[in-house]
Amino acid sequence: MTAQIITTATDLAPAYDIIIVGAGPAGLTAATEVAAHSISALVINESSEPGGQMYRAITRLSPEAYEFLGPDYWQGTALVDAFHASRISYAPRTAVWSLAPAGDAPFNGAGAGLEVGISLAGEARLLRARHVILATGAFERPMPVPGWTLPGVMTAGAGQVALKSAGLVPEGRVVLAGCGPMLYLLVYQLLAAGARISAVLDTTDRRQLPKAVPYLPDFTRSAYFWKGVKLLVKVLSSVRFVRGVTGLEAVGNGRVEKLRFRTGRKWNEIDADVVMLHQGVVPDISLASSAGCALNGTTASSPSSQGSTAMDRPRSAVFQSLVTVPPSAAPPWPKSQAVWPPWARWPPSAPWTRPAKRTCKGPCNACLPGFDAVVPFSTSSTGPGTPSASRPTMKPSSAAAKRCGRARSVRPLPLARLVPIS
Amino acid sequence: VFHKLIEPQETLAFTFDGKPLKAARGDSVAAALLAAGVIAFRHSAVGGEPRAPYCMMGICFDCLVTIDGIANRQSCQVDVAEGMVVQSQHGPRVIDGRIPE
Repeated sequence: MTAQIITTATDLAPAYDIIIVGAGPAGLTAATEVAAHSISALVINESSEPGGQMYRAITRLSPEAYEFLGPDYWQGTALVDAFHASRISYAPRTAVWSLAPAGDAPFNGAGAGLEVGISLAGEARLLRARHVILATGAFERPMPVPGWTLPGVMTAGAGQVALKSAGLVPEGRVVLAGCGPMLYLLVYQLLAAGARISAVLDTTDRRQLPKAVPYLPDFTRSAYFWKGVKLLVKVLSSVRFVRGVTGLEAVGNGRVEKLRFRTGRKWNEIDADVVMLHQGVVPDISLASSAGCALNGTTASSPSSQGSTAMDRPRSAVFQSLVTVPPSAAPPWPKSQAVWPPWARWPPSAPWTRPAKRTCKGPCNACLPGFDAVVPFSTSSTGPGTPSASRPTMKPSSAAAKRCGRARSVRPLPLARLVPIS
Repeated sequence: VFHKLIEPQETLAFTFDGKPLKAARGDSVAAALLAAGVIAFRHSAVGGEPRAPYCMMGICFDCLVTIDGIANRQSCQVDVAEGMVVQSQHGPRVIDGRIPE
């Protein structure tokens, strides 16, 4: 069997046992598992090809020309192949715009289910599902430094998407700024693709180093350790690397021309045609929140104790998977709650956390329900939606939507654990 | 600002603000415009500031353009098609001569 690809909204069935939202590592893993059982299932993907951000464009790229993306990237081939070979319905280029209890109408005579609003090829439809698995992954934490909206300023992830999906290599004066493993990974990949990088401005708060020390013994045993060491050695030996940056400002007329940065008390300047910012990633909980799910960081569900919403009916359930590594790809993880990298906790006093006098550019920390909560990342060896440890509870905020659009401070979420993105 | 790692064998023709451009099959409109050296994709609805892709993955809505007459399309989420007419967007989307509320 192969996956049935759906290209128009009219080809969708009115109801499915399971709808999986997202076709990244978690969604593909869930889909392959579900397809092995006699269950009608639909995978909805906003993008045109499976793989998510991690394995983006993996079905299109030639392993010879893009070998430099690394073995962790090419590991995705097996996952995508298994998905393509599975007995499942697959709707790419499809957006989900609502998720709610379906009301009192019975679902195939077995209780109320969920209603999923989708758009495909210019047509909108409401589908019914008994269960929904949200495998919506993560996006980069917005880094609203002054000048971040100037053309030429983008996220490191955007640079990586451009590289993977269209083979675009930045040229001119390229500056990367921020911290976290993905920043170093991107530098590594861009260098391998032949890019010249003017500088990497590292904003890691070195005062956090002592706090990281207790985690080091466990961390050295993780598969990420040597990968991290390899990336750091390459980055430190190949590009101008500025440590201890505590302020950033992009400057230019109609496009970025310079990046100003502060080290100690001194402001410096560097010419830049392309600026790539990175400050870790945050899970995309928009759908789970809009559906009214209680979020506890690992799964989103409606416990029966809440009582009042239809979401907690026995036959309807929503699971959110924050797992971004498929079980087969997940390296053994140390027993303690390690932080990667341990020194990557964002300094709460960073200068760009002061109120930014500009309106919000998109879904950001402050707009997200659960803004005040800790959003931990987890890797789980048991599959999507499986709680791996007790997590802090997130409280969805009803005022969240209203906050968007006015000047405010963007308070960073602490990084509990970050999954490297290939 | 960006160059292509591999020159495509087969290209699709499309236009941006009337200028003929080429893209590889599978390229998003945003990637194709970046490859063509386009700096500003649009001017923002409120402040009229130039904007270009920020996230390239459908989150930020900063890469909005008009594609085949339909405004507010996320150029990073739409693949280039042969003969596509892409225009930069200035201000908010206008439908039937007025700005929807």
